[in-house]
Amino acid sequence: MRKYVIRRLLQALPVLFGITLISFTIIHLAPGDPAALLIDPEASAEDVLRIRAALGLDQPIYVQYVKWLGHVLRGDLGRSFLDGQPVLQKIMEVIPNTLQLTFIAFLLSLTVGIVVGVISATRRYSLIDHLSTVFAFIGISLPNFWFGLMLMLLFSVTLRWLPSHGMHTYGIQPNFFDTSQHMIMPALVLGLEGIAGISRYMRSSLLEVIRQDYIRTARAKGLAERVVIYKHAIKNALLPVITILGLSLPGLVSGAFIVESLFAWPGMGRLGVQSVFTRDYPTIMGINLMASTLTVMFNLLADLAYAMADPRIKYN
Amino acid sequence: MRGNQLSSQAPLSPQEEPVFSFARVFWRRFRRNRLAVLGASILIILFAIAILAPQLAPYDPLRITLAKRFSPPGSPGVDGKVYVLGTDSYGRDLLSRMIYGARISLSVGFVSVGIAVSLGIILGSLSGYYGGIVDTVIMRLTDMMLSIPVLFLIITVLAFLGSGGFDRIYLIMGIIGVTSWPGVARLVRAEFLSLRERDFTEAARALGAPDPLIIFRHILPNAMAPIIVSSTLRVAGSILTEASLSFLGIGVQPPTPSWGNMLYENQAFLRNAAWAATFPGLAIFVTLLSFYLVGDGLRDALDPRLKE
Repeated sequence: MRKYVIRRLLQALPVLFGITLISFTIIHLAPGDPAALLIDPEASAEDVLRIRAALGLDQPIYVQYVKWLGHVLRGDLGRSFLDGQPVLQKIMEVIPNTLQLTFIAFLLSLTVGIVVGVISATRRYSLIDHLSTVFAFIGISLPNFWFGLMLMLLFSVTLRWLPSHGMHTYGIQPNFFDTSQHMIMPALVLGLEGIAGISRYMRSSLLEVIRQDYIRTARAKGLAERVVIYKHAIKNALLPVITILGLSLPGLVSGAFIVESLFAWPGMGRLGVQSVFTRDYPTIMGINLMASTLTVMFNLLADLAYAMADPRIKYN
Repeated sequence: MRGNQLSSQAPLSPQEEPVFSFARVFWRRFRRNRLAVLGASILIILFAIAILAPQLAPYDPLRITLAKRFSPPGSPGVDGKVYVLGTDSYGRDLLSRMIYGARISLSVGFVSVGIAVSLGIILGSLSGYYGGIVDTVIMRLTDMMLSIPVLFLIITVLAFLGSGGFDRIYLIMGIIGVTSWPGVARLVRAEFLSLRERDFTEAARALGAPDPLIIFRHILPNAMAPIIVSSTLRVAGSILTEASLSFLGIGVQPPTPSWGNMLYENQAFLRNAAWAATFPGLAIFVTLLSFYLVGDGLRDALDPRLKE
């Protein structure tokens, strides 16, 4: 297994290399000069040239890329064009917030999704099954930014129950209760699509398993239906769901860009969108790299979980 | 003469035989899924709205009437007409803007999926048909594309290419299309892997048919059902991506109305003009829902193997 993990990590390297190459090229070939944005419009042509030289923007793209890559390999993502802070530090400051939000959203889609899936599979074609089908269609069709806005309208504007922005209430000592209140809406919005998707997969997977011979055997020897379902069927039905979980993680990373921007959640997604607007090349590249690394890692974790859950699957 | 004899000797002429044309079988299966029929009806209405936008919209979508800012739905408008869905912060008619917004959403959805499906079919069929090194290279590329946080890449590209002289909407269609082929390629490859071993492919090859003929005339038509189903779902995905980008303020640029940028403009007025941020989102939601319902119905009708 260790061999497998090491080989997968090595395989991820060219992928990350390719991703950085693509995004670096796009960002640097695009029109629009970050130096021009940083300098006040009155600056002389020499000033602009000097700043471009200071930022390294006067060199050919491939030189800039090789230099950037060399620094990254030494753990240096450069400094933000905006405030001169090291990009790595900027990202490390916000990434716990993003991970916290995505983790809660993930947990939410996992638990609710599985419970809803099991209930509708065991009560197939009942009212509750039909309702969960309708709910799943609604869940995948609701645009996250609009769902978020509607929640804000109801819970922040009309009822005044929940705060609409940020992670802490301004001016009070950050505490668990306060942060949880701020997290309810973003986590729900981020997790909704997962809840809908996972409940469908869990349902069809469990229905598939219930048809198997060993379930008939378990019933035939007189086991209670509860035991058959919870002890025999669910374990096996969870297998395909684990793959789906892995596949849904990149969606959470993407979703974070929108949800964090909407709720002003101080995470990586919001920092990313802000740095795009300010043309902060080093921060954009850093976030691209970080988000891709997260995606690759999540995919690997899903594959490992899958192999661990099913001994028939060999690492290769 | 001889031909006539032969045909008259046939046990059943084509007229007497019950006709089960593909279209009829398809329609019989499709209409069984009532939700899918509902979705299809909504989509047909949406298309009509998009095409007839200039005739249907009560007002010019760009017409600013500052005196009528934030008129709630149903309030009397200028020229003796009614603001059915109210107005926005510039006093522009929300309904008219939404009617024009349908054009953006639907065209972005279909054009970008067209690009993605074309690329995906070409790469996926090459990969699945030839295997070997071609397959390895294409699949590595596909894996790479699938592990990119695509939305952020698109955001980056759009923000940087924004000042280019050409129309932004084509850029949006292009970039969504170019980044969403990997899923199609994987699907097509999987179909090709199994279809290339079938007898009919073998027969075509034995007859000396060149590869392009085998790929496009023999294998591809048999792989179309899952491609069509997944394309329908992908249209919804592309529409959502455009709306997300416009919601962040980097998609379709105001004043051109798109459902996403209407939400972007109106979210700040949630407190005093909630309708302005409600209806455009509702339009996105209903459109996505219809595509998903139709996709579900298409899967049942085209590819019954997939039904649980």
